[in-house]
Amino acid sequence: MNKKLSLFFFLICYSLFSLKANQIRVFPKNGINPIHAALLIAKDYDTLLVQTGTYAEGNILLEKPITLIGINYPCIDGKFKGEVFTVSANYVTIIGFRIINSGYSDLNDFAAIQLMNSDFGKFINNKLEGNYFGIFLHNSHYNRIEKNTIIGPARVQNKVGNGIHLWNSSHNLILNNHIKKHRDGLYFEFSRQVLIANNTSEENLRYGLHFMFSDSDVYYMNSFINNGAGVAVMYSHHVTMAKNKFIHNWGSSAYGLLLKDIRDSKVLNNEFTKNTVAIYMDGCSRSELIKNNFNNNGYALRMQSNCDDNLIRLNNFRANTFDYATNGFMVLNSFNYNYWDKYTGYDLEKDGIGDQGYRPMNLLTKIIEEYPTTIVLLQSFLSDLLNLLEKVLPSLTPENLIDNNPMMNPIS
Amino acid sequence: MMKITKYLSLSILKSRFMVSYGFILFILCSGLFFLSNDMDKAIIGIHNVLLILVPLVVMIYSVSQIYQSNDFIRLLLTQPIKRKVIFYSQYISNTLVLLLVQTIPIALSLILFSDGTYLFPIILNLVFLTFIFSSISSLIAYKINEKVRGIGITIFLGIYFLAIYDGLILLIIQLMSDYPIEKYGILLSLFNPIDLCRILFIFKMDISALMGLTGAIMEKFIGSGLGSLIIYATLFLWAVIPLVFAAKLFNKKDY
Repeated sequence: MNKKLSLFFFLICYSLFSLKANQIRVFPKNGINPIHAALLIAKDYDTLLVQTGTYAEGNILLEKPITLIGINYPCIDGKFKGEVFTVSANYVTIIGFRIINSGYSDLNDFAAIQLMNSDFGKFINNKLEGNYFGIFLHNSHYNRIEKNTIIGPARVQNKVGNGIHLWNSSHNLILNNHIKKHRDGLYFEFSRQVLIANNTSEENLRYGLHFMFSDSDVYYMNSFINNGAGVAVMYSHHVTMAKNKFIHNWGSSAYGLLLKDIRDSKVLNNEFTKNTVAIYMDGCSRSELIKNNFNNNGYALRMQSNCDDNLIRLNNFRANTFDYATNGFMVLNSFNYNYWDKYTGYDLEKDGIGDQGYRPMNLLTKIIEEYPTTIVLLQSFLSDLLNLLEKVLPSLTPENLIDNNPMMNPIS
Repeated sequence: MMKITKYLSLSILKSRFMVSYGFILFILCSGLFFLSNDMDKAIIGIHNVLLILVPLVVMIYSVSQIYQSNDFIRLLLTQPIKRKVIFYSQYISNTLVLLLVQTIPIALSLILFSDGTYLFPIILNLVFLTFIFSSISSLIAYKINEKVRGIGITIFLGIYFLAIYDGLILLIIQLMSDYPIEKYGILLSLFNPIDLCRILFIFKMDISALMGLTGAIMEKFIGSGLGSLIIYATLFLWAVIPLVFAAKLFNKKDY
């Protein structure tokens, strides 16, 4: 009996040991294509420990679940030809690589790491430099992209791809990445329920963040700094954007945050500093803008009159050239309890809420909307005079565009 | 010429008005830095104060100064001094004293409370405005003999340059809005030195990104060598042409 039991245990242990995934060490001097060679002998779920050095092996195709770990950032050089890593299996992990110089093509979107129909992968701590696209996900779900540094090539806009590009890829986690100098820093299309947190996207040629048809995504604590055209989000619903920073997206066609056809979404606790237009809203419905800080922007809010049922509550508007602009007389949105630094009313009851309403759109803004050339009168004595007149006798700005309960002090 | 200029300048500098004007300017400009939490906004505020205050003060002060020194000039004319010398020493002493009294407080507040990036454009605008409105006011003062009428016209001209002309621009743009008139916005402002200084400063402040198509077109114009040459030449002409006419009037004036 005892013998049988010990044999049984031995067999179990043996089988467990034989099941244990292998670790394969890869050195740059192992033959011509060391990584390819290692991949050939590796079984599913094995780990490749790639030692430091430079590897230029052309396209590396990962067709089975495998873990690649770079020791001391081994450099994988694409030599400007084709893709570097192409992943077409589930459970692939790539950690700690320096991947440079993927190819450029007008027909194919060559990326440093390309995922085709592969789920449950992890792509952590990589340094991607000078690639056409950084990380490109095709129809790949439940992946984790974390702590990567992605720096684009120094080329003109139409020859630079996106930093992290998701196409039809849902339930992914994009965390703590730093993206720089790509066309769009982060790009999502048809990608639902993605969490994007703590990323920094800066100095991109076009948008820091760009998404379309990507519903129920959450953007949390990201920074979008100094991008060519700011951030543009379109045709999505149930999007949450909280605690993000939109800083210095400045230029004649740049926006801090462009919302186009967004509905049932929330924009909470964000910070908008020094953007030409902090938020531009076009065709947005039932969205909430709460507790945002607008500092030193050209236009703080620019809301086309096709926006309806939006709530603008408890925001701080400080030192913006224009607080609000709209293009028509119809205002279907509600403003309440915001702090406007240009508010000059009084508060007799001392409840912290001004007794008179505040009209965020001044007459000059209205005139500029109708006759754009009149912007040559910006900051002239006449424009101050006109704004004062409109404040005393409102007649030309939209009737129900009013914050009836403006706060006396900034909201913390 | 040096001697007359020196005596005239010293007599103006002694006046209580000049000292208090400089002091008020300093308090106003430094106050703006304390009132607004943002430095850029404070600098825009200072520039606005400059655009509104300087033309009016310069014009009214130099017109009344010329009327006041009428007796002194008559006395000088009995001496063997050329009329041109008397005219230019009067103009230069007036302008230089005003320039001194305005530049020092504004420059001081800018140096003390800001990083000084906008010091040069603001002072440049100040110099231009002082010279331009000083020569316009000497033209008025020598053209019109009655003091009250002269000052009345000066105040009207000040308000015209400050507000009425901009109103006309607004009207013209509104009437012509069916045509592509973006290019002509800047052309219209060539006829008003205050507008010209304001636009020059706006483009220095990088607010032009707000201005859309008009801004882009204007930026292209101002950014180009020819454009800025035209603007500075226009500002120069605004100072020189009234002065030349005033000098002619003074030469022929019957005291």
